[in-house]
Amino acid sequence: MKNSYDYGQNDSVKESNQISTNLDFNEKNEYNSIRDAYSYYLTKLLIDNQKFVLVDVDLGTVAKTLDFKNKISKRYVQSGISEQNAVGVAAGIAQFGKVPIIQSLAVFLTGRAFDQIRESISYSNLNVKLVGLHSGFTLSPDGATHQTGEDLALMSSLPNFEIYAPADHLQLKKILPTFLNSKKPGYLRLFFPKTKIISKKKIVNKRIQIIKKLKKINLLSYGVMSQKLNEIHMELKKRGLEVGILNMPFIKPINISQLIKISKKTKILFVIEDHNQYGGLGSMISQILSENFPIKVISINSKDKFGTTGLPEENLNYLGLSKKKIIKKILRYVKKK
Amino acid sequence: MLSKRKILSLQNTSKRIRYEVIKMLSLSGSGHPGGSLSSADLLTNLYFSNILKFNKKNLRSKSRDLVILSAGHYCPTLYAILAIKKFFNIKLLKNLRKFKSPLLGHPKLNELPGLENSGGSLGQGISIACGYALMAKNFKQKSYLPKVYCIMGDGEQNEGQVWEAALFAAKYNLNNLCAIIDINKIQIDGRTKDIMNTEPLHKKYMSFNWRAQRINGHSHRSIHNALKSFVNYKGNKPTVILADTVAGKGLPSIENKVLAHGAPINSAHLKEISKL
Repeated sequence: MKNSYDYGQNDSVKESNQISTNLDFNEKNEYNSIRDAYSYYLTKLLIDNQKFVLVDVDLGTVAKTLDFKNKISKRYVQSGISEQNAVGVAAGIAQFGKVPIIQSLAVFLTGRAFDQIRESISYSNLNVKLVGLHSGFTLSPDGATHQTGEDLALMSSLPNFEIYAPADHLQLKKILPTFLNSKKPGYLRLFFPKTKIISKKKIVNKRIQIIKKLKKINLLSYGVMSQKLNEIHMELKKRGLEVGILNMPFIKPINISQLIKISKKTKILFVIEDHNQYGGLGSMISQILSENFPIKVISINSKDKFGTTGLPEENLNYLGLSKKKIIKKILRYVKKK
Repeated sequence: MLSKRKILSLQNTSKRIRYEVIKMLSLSGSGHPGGSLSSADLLTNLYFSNILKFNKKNLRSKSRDLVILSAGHYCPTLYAILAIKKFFNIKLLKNLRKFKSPLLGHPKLNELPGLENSGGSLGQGISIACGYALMAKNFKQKSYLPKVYCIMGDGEQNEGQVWEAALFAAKYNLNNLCAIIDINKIQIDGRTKDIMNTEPLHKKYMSFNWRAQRINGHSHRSIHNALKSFVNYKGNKPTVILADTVAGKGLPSIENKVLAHGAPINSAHLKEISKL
């Protein structure tokens, strides 16, 4: 059942699944919560593989992994509300030779414990997996304290780290084992609302996914914002504008050669993200292309502003990231040309 | 109990390490003599009195004991000890803080054999020690339970993370964890009692459900007895050894002075210590 926090055709149902602890996931459904999918796929990987240790910071309920502790006993660690300690504990677990997975709201994990992530994990190059739940601005009812438009800026500034941002549960299914089995420290960026499968097209490791054929004007996104691309594509087509659509689940290391190839066929590249203006994917791509193959890159993001409270769509609209506002911006830039 | 001969030998080793530290710092022109010297007896005792199950042959063994240097700025002392213990060539010591030297101003994991953590930003080591100690308990391979030692300073007790970790260690009954706090009573800006008083530390740790021992951190007999009692401890609490020390100990011109923390060391200091 859908609710008002989820994405879809109509936002009609009122109750929230925010604190429901039951797993609400069916692989066959087109419409699923990526958080529930994470819990579902993680169970299998975690139980089968003795190398993984799960570290919670009193948000196992949010990750829907609380009942894991009975299944993996000695490989489950509960650190309480203490991100800084938990990240250090995870570093110690990695030093012992296990692979810790530490999960919390993206804002608390990357923000509160940044210094610990930097020194004890990134600088030491220890194999620790960070899972940022409810990233971006779609955990809207809780307000900006629980949202994050800074996590990519923080995490992409750290050497050795890999960054993954799947857009739907099908992508997560492919990406989760890659993320967990990599020998490098990694950050997995997940989001809150239920979403549809954006494409049945295959995901290839480290590659940008081309969802709709490249045109002169192309839209690129990742995570929850990729959800909007198909509808924006349709809307623009109605207005006589053909655009290509790209999805980028592997953010770091960034695929420079593929980006250059894409830019050679592109006049304007729109990078759409639920992140702040500075330090997000728009910044990264602008920098890479201006150094290698300069084309016009337009970033559509939260424009150096904090989110507010309300429904996800209301918050995104407030930040200029609703479908309508994105289309308006695209058309404005295209007409300028 | 340590024999008089063994104590004399430890005192001589401490002396040699202090000399090496001052030599390193005089060559590098910067560093932290205050804590390096105040912790010298503690670290010497740990590495040279048959307490620590760690040598260059069991660097990666799951049954080795672990030393986490949370107070990373004490590293000249650790570097000197590891060099004397032949973990690496002692000639490397002269490269402390030099361009691309593995003897960085603060230690980096995997740069040198024998280092178990990166340390510099204070308060982080105790959490790393907790994570390792918990895994060592949960996945004990043979009959021996590896011990984890974590060296901290008293200024470091200002950090909130230390107290998060203190809760964690007690919750998980990390009886294989021994925190050693070098209480030299100074930090960069002044006396710890004035900057941010953390005393009475033993009462704080005891209220966090730790087993606390307060000792003279320059008496090899006291240090050894405290370490031995940790090794033989059969209860389920984590241990903290609170060692009262003197900043800059062994170099009278800076001893117990606030500037000892990061005082620049020169050839006059080297002369001073070699005469003692």
